[in-house]
Amino acid sequence: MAVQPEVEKKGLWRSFTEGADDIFTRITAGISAGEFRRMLRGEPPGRPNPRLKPHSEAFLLHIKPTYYHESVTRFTHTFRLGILSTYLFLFETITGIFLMIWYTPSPDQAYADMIAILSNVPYGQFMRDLHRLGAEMMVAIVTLHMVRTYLTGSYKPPRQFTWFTGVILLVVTLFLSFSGYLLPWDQLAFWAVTIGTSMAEAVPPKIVGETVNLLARGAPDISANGLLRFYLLHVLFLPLVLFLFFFVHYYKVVHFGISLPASEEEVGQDTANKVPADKRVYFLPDVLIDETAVLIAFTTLMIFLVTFFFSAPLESIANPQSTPLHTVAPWYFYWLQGMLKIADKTFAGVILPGVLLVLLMAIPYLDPNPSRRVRDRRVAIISGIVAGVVMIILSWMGTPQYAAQAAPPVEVVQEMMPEEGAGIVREIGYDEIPNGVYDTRNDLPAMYPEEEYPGMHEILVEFEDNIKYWDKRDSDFNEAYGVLTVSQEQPNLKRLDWDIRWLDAEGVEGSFQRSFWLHKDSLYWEEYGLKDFGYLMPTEEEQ
Amino acid sequence: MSDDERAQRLAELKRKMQESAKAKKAQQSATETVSKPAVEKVKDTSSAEVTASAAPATETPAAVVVETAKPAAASVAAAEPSPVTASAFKGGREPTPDDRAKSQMNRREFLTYAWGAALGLAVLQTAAVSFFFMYPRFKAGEFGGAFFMGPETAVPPTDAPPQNEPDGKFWWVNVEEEGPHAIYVVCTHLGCLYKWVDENYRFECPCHGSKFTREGFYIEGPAPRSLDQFEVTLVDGTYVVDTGAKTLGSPADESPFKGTG
Repeated sequence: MAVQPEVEKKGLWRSFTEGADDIFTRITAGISAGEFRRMLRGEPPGRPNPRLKPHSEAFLLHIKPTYYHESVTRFTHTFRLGILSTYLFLFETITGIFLMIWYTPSPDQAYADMIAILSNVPYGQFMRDLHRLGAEMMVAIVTLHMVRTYLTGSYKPPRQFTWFTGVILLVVTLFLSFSGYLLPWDQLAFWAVTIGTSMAEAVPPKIVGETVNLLARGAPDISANGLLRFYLLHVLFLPLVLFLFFFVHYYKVVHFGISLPASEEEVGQDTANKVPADKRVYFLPDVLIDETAVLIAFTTLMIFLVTFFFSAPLESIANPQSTPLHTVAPWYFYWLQGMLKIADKTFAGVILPGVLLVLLMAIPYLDPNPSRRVRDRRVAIISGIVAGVVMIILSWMGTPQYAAQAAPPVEVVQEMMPEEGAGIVREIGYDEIPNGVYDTRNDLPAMYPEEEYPGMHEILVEFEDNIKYWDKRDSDFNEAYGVLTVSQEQPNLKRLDWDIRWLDAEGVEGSFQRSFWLHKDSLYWEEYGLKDFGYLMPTEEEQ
Repeated sequence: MSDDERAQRLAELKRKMQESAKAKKAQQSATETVSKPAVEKVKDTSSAEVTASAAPATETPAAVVVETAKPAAASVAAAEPSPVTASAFKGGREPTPDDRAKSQMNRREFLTYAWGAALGLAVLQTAAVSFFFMYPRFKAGEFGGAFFMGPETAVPPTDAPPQNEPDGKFWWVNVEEEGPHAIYVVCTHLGCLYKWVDENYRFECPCHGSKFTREGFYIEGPAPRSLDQFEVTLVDGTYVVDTGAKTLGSPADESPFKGTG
């Protein structure tokens, strides 16, 4: 209709509001402004339900079900772990693209780029921390999602294939997280990935293992080519694989519906398409608002953690000539590292994980139990719990605590000032450590009381305790004492000499020395602890 | 829903449909009769009726206040003789959900707007963070950043030919009484790089023949303005050229050297 006759007929204001309403309806793919407000007010829809239209009209909503069964919308039924996993993938994509702006995947540039992101780009550290935390959260949440599905028996018919694709998604998530590990090109990255790809080398027969390793690293050792390959895996290939399998997985979820609590659904029942009218919770607006609220809360939590507690570690630049003491895999591979310590690399690194993975994927096809109720699934649930406990024990064995201990004096110094990372002395920092000679044969904590020397007191107590601990534990480490000498090497640069002396089982004296430097402007903080905001408050001498 | 409830609901819907049909009929007849009479009369009847009919239909006193506020708006609308508006509430029908939607806002709706607005604010913040994160960083010694041209005492003589600074993309020229200038190497016409021609003692562009003096003033040719320059500051006795801060040259017509070539 031409504009003028319409305005003449209806008046200017009404033609304007009707036009606006028309545009609104187009944007929302079928919800008029009045219907939108009724939705917000919690009023029931008209009949036929106009709130179903966006599901058929709008691309973004066509994959969402129009309604859910009341019982699956309960928070404690799913804990919203599925949507959180999906959201984290999106979140990682966005923060990842941001980081790519400043990053070059080349050994000459990568580490310098990391330093620039952390020290020069506004919100650079924030963005990196978000990306790193998101990656670790994603591994954790995807795993929890699987655990939840296992415990409620939701993988049973007709949802076997959903579980199968879910395991693929878990594996891709692990590889995504791990392939990103190398990119900062620091010692942590370099050696964790060296260990990881060495496991691939163990694939039997030998020729296959070597070929796999060459393909992954692009050279016999990790080098420029390996970094580029990991980069491409991380930013392109694996996200595409994840993207594809996500849609397969989600299609199955919608197709069969989220499983109801075991008490309300028999195995094999098609509950998704037969929800009684009085049990329906419609996506618009109830589920949408719920999901939005969950995502907002989760994002807020991430930002809160990153601001106050979490910072992604960055060690010194990768050095292919020197492996730092206590090199560890990322925490989600501790269990693998634990197995590698006690068993053969081919068996523990390749065959066993491979078999476990196949078993995990095949669970729904192997489980003969037709019931989803907890009391009928005692064997399944107990074996699940046992598997979890075994994983935790293996993970503990994967930490340096188990079977990777160096000599006691090395461990004492490592505890105080590790080769890589912060450690208690660096966290307490330059200003709190007065120059002097500290000998643990004297009663140091009393000489440096807590009220007067809060930081130094803590260091000395820790130093003494460490030596006593090893003295008690190791028969080759007796009557041990340590001397810490702090001297001013240059203005604003202190030198810390650690000297540990002991008698071995035969009474022969041994000694171990190690020196470190600590600069006034070095900013260390606990890697996974409360961030140090001390720099916000100038110290007394600066005032 | 139990059968009883369903039956009740059906009955209720049926009643509503009948009522709205009746209301429509009444409205139609009202439109015909109302279109002629005086505006004053229309306003009175409509506002009185709305207040009367709205009061029993609403649950809370607060809602009544909102409802009664409506006739004021209606009377404003009615002041202009528009038959549709005037008869909106004719026929004594209950306000439909649409009518209520236009007039009242409950707590739930308000809170949705509130958190929606908070979400919008968060999105704006994210946009700001993204902007600052993505904005290029200019390092000293790279084009776009600062260039340190040495101490005050080390500037070239005022009669020396301009000195090219390829990294910073400028000519470094010392001008008597004014101090050194940093002239951007790109011609103001179409982006070619002009050259210093020592024989003619001026800058000449190889593409379209624009000419400029040693100080960057326009002499002749198609260029629209004198040469662009970067900001030069003296920081602790050292000349600093900020290649991120460009000053456009003055228009060709204003050049004191125009046509002197």
